[in-house]
Amino acid sequence: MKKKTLFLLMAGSLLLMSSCTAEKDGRSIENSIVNSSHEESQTVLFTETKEIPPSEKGALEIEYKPVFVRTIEELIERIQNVRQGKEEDNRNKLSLINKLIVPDTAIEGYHLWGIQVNEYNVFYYYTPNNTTVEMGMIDYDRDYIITVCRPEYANQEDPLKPLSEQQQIKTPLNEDGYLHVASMRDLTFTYENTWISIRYPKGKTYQDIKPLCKAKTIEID
Amino acid sequence: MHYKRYISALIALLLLMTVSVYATDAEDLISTEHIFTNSELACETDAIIQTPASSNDGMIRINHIEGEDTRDSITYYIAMVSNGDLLSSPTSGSFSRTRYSSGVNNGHVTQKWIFTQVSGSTSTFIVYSNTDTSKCLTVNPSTKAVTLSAYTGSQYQKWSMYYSSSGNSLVSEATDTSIHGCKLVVGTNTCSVSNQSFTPMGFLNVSWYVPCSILSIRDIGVPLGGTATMYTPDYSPSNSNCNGNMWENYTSNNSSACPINSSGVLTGNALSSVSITVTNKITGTFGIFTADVLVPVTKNARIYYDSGVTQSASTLASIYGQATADLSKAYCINMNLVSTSLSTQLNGNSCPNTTPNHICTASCGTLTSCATTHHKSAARLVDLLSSSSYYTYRLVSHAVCTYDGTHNEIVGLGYRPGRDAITSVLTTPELKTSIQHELTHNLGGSHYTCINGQKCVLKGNFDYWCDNCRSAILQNRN
Repeated sequence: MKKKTLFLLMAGSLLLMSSCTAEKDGRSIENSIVNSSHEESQTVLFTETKEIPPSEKGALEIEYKPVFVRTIEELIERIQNVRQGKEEDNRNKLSLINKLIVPDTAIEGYHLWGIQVNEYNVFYYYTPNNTTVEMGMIDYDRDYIITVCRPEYANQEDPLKPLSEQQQIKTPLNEDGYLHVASMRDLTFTYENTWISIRYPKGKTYQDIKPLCKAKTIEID
Repeated sequence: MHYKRYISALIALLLLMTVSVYATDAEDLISTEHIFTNSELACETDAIIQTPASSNDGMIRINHIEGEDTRDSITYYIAMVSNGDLLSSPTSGSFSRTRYSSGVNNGHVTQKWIFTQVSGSTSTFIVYSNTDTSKCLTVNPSTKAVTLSAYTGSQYQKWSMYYSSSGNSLVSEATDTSIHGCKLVVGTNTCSVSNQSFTPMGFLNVSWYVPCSILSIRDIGVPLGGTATMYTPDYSPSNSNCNGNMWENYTSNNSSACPINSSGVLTGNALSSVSITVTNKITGTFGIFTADVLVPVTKNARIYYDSGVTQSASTLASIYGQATADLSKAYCINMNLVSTSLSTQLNGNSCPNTTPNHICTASCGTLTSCATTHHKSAARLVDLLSSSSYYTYRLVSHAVCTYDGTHNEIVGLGYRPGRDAITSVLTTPELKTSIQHELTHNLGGSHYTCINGQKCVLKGNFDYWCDNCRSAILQNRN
């Protein structure tokens, strides 16, 4: 059984490599490998052997690993290293950042827990001072997430226009020129040639968040 | 025998409950020491007193108003809950009902009412017209008609404000027992008092009231044969008030296919795309959103995690539930998680060449053959444990790699379209977002068509889909 499974796995993987579209023609899937000794695991109530039609599989889309650092200083150092060739650039394209936009505000009772940079955005995660956060466990009901859209992906003429036109948002700018989506607890404002968004915790109001709409630019050598 | 008594009592209770909320009598009037806010005076939905002390859902006399202990008078708009009309006095001594917008150019002069406290009482008022401040609301004890007459100090010119969850009221404080406790009824051009009915109204403190000028609401999916509650609207100015159910009308342009009730609950009766208009009764400001009535789709799903994942199965299931909640609300796609199980097949410690925090190296096989030979290859692991019956999500505690021209550590990947996805819990700062990201691929969303400048979970924005990814999900949801 093991040999057969290994052979089929390799065959399936070769197919995947050859066409970017993985297929599992005629492959048997064995689902009885659950370790039922684990305390909280639920026993899988099926042991099936099914044929998976070729159309079931599409192309693989990848979520690349973002840069994750704890402080702004650390992020600046990483960007500098990439720009100076000391560190390899990757999909996150740190080399394109010559000006780092950072929140210019202290959030009372919160601290900056981490910063994530992917190809499109820079995320600043703020969690309550008395809270310990595990990796992967940011809480949108409790934490502040400040997102800076990387200018190369923003509409530089009118950064908020694509958002106010976005079908899911369809929200006109408010009296302060901000885009406030109350149902998402999300306030977005223009900064230079991009937008910055503040996802705020439950219990906060627009008036609480408005003073946080500040940012500054750090030139990267 | 006893059950017959219970049934009789139940029928009697039901009969009592069916009496219109607008029909009250003097016995319902109750006093409490509650300090009323401007929001409660205006009868805003979120300000409704949930359990007024010993009120029996009757009316509560407003004895104390927040922040108004020392006032001489307060100016209010008197707005009708039914349609937002304001009680107005277009000329001295006359009544009408007008729209808020009609008073914009004259400072709302004829729409304001000045409540002046009767000496020695914090809760009895003379209600003066702002058009002619010598005149006030006066009851004729014979006809029960209310006119605007010169103030004389008569008992028939004394009023109190009463609160009820269906709308507030002005009540006569005349000592004459034939009038005492009768409530104001507002007609088209006339007013009267009654002890049988009243006109539900809000008292909008003019200095407090901020009219809503922009109103917008997110689109929503409504399951065919089911219901969905509309998203919370966005209001501008952000501190505008008199929003919410009490002061909004909801109308559907196809009320047979998808009606909406006064609480903002939509019912999907027929497959359709319906425009719903939300109108602020007072200002007339309106917003339109689309409700797509869709056949609800249930996708059975399961999670496998490896031995190193520290979160419990129930925590992982909860996170998955949060990641998929908006798929249900926006697209009527219910991800039905049937199992969350450990699978040692996903373990990263099977790699003899690396520690869990690091991806495979050339020692594990040439980098270009990552998908077939590497222990931590995401492309290899995502093909394990598949089933045509389930959306299968794999959560691993170790780093995962892939080769797409270069050999990289990645957060995860998913088939587009497809049913299989994987995330490295070690690598993502935000697991919910990553799960929603990969499921969006499974449902058709692609980085290749994701719109720049818009928010989208494929760019890391939780619960957002750009227009193209949204369309892709709607096309692929079946």
